[in-house]
Amino acid sequence: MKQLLMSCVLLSALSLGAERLSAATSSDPEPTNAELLKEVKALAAKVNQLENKLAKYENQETVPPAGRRLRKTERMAESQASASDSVASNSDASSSAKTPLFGLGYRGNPARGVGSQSAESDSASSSDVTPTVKTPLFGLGYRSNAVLNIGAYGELKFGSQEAPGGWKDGFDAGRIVLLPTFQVTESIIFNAEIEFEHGGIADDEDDKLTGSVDIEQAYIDFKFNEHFNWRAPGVDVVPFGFINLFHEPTQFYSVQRPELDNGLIPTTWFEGSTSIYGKVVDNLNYQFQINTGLEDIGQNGGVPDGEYEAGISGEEALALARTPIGDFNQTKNAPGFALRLSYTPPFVPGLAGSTSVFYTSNVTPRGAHADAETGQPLGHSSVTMVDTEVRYRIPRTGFEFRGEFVDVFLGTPANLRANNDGNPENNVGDHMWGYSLELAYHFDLSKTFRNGWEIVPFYRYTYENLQTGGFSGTDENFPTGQGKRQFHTLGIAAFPTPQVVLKLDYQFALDDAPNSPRADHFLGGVGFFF
Amino acid sequence: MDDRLKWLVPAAFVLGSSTCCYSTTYLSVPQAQKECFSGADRFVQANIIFTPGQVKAIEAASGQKVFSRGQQVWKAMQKGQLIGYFILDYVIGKHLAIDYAVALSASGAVRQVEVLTYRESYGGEIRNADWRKQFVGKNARSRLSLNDDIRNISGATLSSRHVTEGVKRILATYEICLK
Repeated sequence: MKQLLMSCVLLSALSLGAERLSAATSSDPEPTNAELLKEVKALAAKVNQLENKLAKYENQETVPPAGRRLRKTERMAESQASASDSVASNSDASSSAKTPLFGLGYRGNPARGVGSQSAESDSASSSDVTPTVKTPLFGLGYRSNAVLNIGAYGELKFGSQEAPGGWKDGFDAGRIVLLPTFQVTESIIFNAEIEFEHGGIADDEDDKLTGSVDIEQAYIDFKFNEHFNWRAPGVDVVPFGFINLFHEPTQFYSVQRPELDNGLIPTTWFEGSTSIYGKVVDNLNYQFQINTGLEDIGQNGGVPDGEYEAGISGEEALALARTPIGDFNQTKNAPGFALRLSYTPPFVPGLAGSTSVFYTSNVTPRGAHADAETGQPLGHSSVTMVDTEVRYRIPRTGFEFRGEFVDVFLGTPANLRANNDGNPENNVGDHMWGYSLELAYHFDLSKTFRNGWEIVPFYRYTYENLQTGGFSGTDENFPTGQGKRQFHTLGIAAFPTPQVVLKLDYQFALDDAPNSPRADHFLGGVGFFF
Repeated sequence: MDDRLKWLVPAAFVLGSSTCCYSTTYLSVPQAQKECFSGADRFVQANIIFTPGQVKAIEAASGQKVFSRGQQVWKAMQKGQLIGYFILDYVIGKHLAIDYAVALSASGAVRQVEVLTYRESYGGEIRNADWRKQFVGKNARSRLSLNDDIRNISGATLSSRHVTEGVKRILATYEICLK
């Protein structure tokens, strides 16, 4: 830039001199020495004036505007510029780090950014840069706080499910999720997840088109250092297991989420919460969360005088026990605590896993009572959950193995609504548990064909027992056995790109209930995440 | 202690520590340069501004889209001799930019990859030395494919993938613009 302006100065000076010279020539073919001296002085004055303008421009470019502190990144750019020798090999314009045209500064992905200019429209060529430019559009000084990023994921499903009375075909716009992210400053970052499930929402509950819209995540992170970061109170998923945190459809191969995440872990399990997280040492990370915990009521609006649905049961495990996130509608005071340690041991390349613990001292809602006939109030009961899961991709092969084990301990089952609701079939003991084992093989066809797909056949076995012994409470006790379930899931997932997946699977569902309807399914799905 | 008061202690700790410095930046550019080329006595800025032809060639060679108009490059010099290139770049992790640098030898093989700034909540494992070490020795002819010659980190898949793609693009940039 400096060289460019110097060239302009010299060209202007020369052309000025030439004009004067030709004017002098036309009026007087032989100017006197005094006249020539005068011309030279005028020329010198003009050069001085242009040099002053150049100096002024350079000052304007390097000194920040009054009242504005340099941002950290800009300071870095400055120090970097001064620390480095600014000799360019390729072009004059690239020699100045003060008006960078590119580099770390351009953050927005033009395909996704909202409220940002595209790379093309932002990218001024060197000749477009004028002395009025104060803040560089590219380079270290430009940050992603100019851009609200909106990512998305979703899954659309179709196929047949076995039900009482035979197979039924159908379609489900399972979920479409928007993921806004905004970098408020370098260290304060907003994230959210806005989910439209089963096609959205209708006002009336009896509307046949009803679905739901959920804010599954909305929080602001304060990044302190790699060991300690704080997630301010907001809505966040509970750090428990793997799928509850990473539940985009490209993260698992079956059409439906793994069965353990459909009750034993009430995925997507999100709560009002605050947490801290970071790295303990290399390859070992932690997240500790305080949240609103679980509650033993399966319906909104608090405990009524009469009947109400249990939150924890031998049929649906914890699927209905998640606390609501709206309007102070939680029904108990005891907070929940969740700790997740995730690890990628370097001595076993390709292995990743996590262990999570959740505890709340009480899940019994205010006003909880046994069924209408007995009616006595129900006391407190704690819930403790433990999960361990591993994922192992054998390096340089297509083999992948996943395994998970979940335990749920119920402190005082006699105080749980399912054991006191007059229904003898949904009772729970003091323990629920389950595990799954999965084997997948990745055929990477891109090695053979350009733009080849990745094809992943897989098989998963799941066992869960929601009705172990130790029943107590006012109910009679006739567990149906359907809480003891096994699932064999066999299928194939095809990834045209890592962001898109097409799925097909067949699931054999078995339970111990002698006359229970079969619940197999044959489903296809389309998932995306970008 | 009053029940409510005990909750104030961690809150006060968090708010108190928020007044001290916080950052997602782990290395400045000069620090990263020193990490990569401890023997260098001088870094000569040698930025590239891409021509449209170069952009096309880089995209074709790497299979990656080029969003930037150029590349920030420094020549690492030792006693007047070129010992390598220090190339600054960024990729998007899940949503946010990951600032990283690739150090190449004078012949264009990866000497080191350094992550300068990592902003995402999950996926910071890519900063681990044992994962970054996989890139050492790679050049423009290497496959650089996740789950193949570069190991994926489960739980940090997007960061792993995008940094791998970024290094592939940088190697193509060397081949087309610097070699």
